[in-house]
Amino acid sequence: MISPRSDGVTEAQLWYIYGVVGDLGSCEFTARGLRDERVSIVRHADLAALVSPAPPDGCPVTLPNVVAHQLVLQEAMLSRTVLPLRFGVVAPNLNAVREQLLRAQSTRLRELLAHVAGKVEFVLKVSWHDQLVLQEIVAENREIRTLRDSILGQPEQQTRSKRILLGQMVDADLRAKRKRVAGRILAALSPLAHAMENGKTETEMMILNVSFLISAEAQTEIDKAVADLQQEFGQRLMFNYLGPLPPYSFVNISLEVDR
Amino acid sequence: MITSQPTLQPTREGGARGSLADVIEVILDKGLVINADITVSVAGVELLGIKIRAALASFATAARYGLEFPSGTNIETSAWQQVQVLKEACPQCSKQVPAHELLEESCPWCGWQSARAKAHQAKSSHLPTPVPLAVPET
Repeated sequence: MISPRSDGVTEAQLWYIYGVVGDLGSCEFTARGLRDERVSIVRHADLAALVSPAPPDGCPVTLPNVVAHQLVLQEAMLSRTVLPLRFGVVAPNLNAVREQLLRAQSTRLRELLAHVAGKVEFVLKVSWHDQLVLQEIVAENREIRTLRDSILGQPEQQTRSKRILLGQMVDADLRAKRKRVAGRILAALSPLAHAMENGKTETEMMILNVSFLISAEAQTEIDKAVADLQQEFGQRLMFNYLGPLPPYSFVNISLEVDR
Repeated sequence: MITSQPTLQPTREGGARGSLADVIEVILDKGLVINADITVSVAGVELLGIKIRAALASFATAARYGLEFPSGTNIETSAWQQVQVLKEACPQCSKQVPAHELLEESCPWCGWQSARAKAHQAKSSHLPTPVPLAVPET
């Protein structure tokens, strides 16, 4: 295995980059990198990049590769602030990592590190339980109930316009409900967050897909706040709650590096 | 407090939150990108939307059948044990259910049973070789 030295450059070896850290903390990593390679550290001043030799045939998006990426960053995150790179960034050599990334971008990297220092990301996705919310709409809206009853058991061709109208009414109710519920959830959680990033909702039934940047110390608070919301909404809403993660969503930018 | 368990899923004293698929989606979609000649993005940094979904689907398929693991992959590691609890969409109600439960028992939401679970119930002596549930989309 080829290992980098603080004073040496290994030629003709591609290096996979996991992330950038400002505080080295413990330099020993138990997590293995891609292809079970040992994780090494490239330094410039107070900055360091976590790297490992990249396989010569590239690093395709395979499950083991993606898992390794996350495991390395997750371990790094335990003891220091880390700027997680998106999966798949490979440098042609260690000198490029040191000079063109760490040295040339040091100001920007330090700004980003300060922005996320001591903080972690939580992702919350909230969806309706589709059957329950539809039942709820039918129960709450007399107009919808009457229209539905008039369609039930009728042939589809004869009730086509009624069915379209019913769909539109249900959709309108669903939108109003979504706005109300999303507002309620964000009002409860946003005071705990330093920053939020809204993601796209992935399905019709998804109400929210939002990332929170949370102080590492505030994790039990957001846990409790989410648990309280879950209790408040019961079966009606499905909460998909993910974290703590390295702050992927809050360093989600492209660094334009000079040639 | 963050625990030091080397598992793929985020872990805390309160227990793990979130599934493998969710974590992977974040890794492929978010994070710092270095845009320059110094970087060779072998994987293609511009993986977006449907491509990520396709990658996730193929991961799920690979994990389910134990296929396509590169030689030398240590499948005894904690990361691989996490893969074993990968969630799958129920073919009937589309809800995410732990794959093992879905395959071996039934969907806890709608009661859907796999052919394998039914066969197992019918003659609870010997399991047949696993039958693919669906043709994986690639």
